[in-house]
Amino acid sequence: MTPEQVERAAKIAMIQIGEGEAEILAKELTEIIDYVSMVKDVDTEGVPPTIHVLPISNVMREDEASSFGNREGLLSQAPETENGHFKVPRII
Amino acid sequence: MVDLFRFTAHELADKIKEKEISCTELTQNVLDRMDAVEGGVHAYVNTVKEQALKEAAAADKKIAAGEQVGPLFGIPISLKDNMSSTDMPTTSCSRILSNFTAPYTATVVEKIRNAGTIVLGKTNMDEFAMGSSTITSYYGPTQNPWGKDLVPGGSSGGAAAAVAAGEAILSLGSDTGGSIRQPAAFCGVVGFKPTYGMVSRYGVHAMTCSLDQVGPITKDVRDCALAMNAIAGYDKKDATSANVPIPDFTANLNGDIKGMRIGVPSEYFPSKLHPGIREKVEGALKLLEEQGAIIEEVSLPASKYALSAYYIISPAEISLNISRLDGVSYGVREDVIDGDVYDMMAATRAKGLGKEVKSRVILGTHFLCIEQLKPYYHKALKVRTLVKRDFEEVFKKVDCIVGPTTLTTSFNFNSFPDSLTLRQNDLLLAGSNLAGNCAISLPCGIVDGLPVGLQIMGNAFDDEKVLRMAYCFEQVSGIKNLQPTFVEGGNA
Repeated sequence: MTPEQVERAAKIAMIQIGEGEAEILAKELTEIIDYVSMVKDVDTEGVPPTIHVLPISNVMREDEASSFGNREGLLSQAPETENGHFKVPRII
Repeated sequence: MVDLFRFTAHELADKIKEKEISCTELTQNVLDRMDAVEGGVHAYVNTVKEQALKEAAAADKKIAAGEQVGPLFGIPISLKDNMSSTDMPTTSCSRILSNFTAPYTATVVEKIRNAGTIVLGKTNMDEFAMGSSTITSYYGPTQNPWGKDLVPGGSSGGAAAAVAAGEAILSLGSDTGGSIRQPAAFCGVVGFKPTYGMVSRYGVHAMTCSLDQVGPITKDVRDCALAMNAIAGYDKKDATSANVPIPDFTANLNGDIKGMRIGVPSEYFPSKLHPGIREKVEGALKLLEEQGAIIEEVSLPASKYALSAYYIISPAEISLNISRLDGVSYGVREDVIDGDVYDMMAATRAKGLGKEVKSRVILGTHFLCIEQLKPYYHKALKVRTLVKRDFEEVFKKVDCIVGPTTLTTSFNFNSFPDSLTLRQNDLLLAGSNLAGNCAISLPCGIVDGLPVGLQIMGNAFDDEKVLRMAYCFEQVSGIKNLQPTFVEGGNA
């Protein structure tokens, strides 16, 4: 993994990284990637992926609105609120 | 006063029912124990002592009124710090959630409380359960009650240490790649990872959704089965919860394993395995054979790739789960002067998340980038199928697979094994998570003064079989409810 790839992933993941951090992370993560690269050698021709172990499917229900019942509880955890809404710095 | 904190939950519950002791006496005794040793152990990150005593007093009134009570009634317990409840913070031991109290309660917390248990607090863990030594906690490490400067294992290190030190009679932990079983092995207690979907994850902070499972950490196997009776079951709030009939997990704790077949995989006895551990596990197998179990060699050839698949799938899912921590609706926000909302989020995550978490998020994001998707993530999902198939084949022939839980005993904070050994430790553990199977770790002896874990693995939904075999071993070996010596006398 190159420092540029670290910077790209950090940007997508919205994690600010400091100066020189990309180089250090690139080195550490390359070690892990080298290790896990052994999966490339496994013959998986015709093998389906396992995303999930249980044979589950979507459960449908009537689309009826219901109240969570603890709006205040939810809002009380927010860093900043205004008029019953979450408040954030400018978006555009 | 007798040291009530030394007894198992079922022993104490009997004493409560017989009115030999009161719930208040018991809770007070465990809280006193906490006062005496917690300074050294640091198993807890939040406690609710007054609330616990109030609940104990209310429980005593129920007993006095002659109410019918269940088998865990009045038992003081702890919850891992990733299980939501409205009565105290739930932080996953992360700075970003250090001010967070959940506005709702996890199903598993509701269930264990409905069984009449008394919650004493939340236990220390690796930040967002990422680690195997409880050293990545924002609140500092937990000390293993078995020796100076020894790690308790992780990520449920606080939970295991609390039970071992007598600071809780029973704990709930979570296991993504061994996070219940490994600390249980290191701390000399019983830790059970149930079959995936057996216990609701609703309200439990997600690390790797397709691998996470909640389970008990206890002093013996019967306590473990009783805890399972309390917490297992379908939950419509958890889409990955299994809608299957729930057995009485204590029903087959009878010591009879005659004719049960045990598979021993050579892959679980690598050259790096501590010779003392090998000896204890081989001794355990001999003992099980003497009880009438049939031992046979089996092979899990894909297990050498299991860990690689784990180290791809887990960070990929982590990167998604951690994305919800953005400083908008809860948690600690990092204010940015003159910045927009995205600057705020990036700064919040940079400051609020620890090094290990950020590194796994970045790695997982990388694996999900379009050009890495096929060679890594998609490939890992296929390898996962092979790992699962290996287990399925073996479980056609045997009832349980038995081996060690870890390659080493607990290690010193200052002399960590090399990263390859650390990873190989997970090798014995992650397979059960990838396949969705159940597995238990229980003590099978002491090597160099430290406890050793025996791992018994079962097929998905064979949880009862695993508990039955574990119980038999415990009864015949007499190894249970170990009392760590180091924590005595305020050493820890």
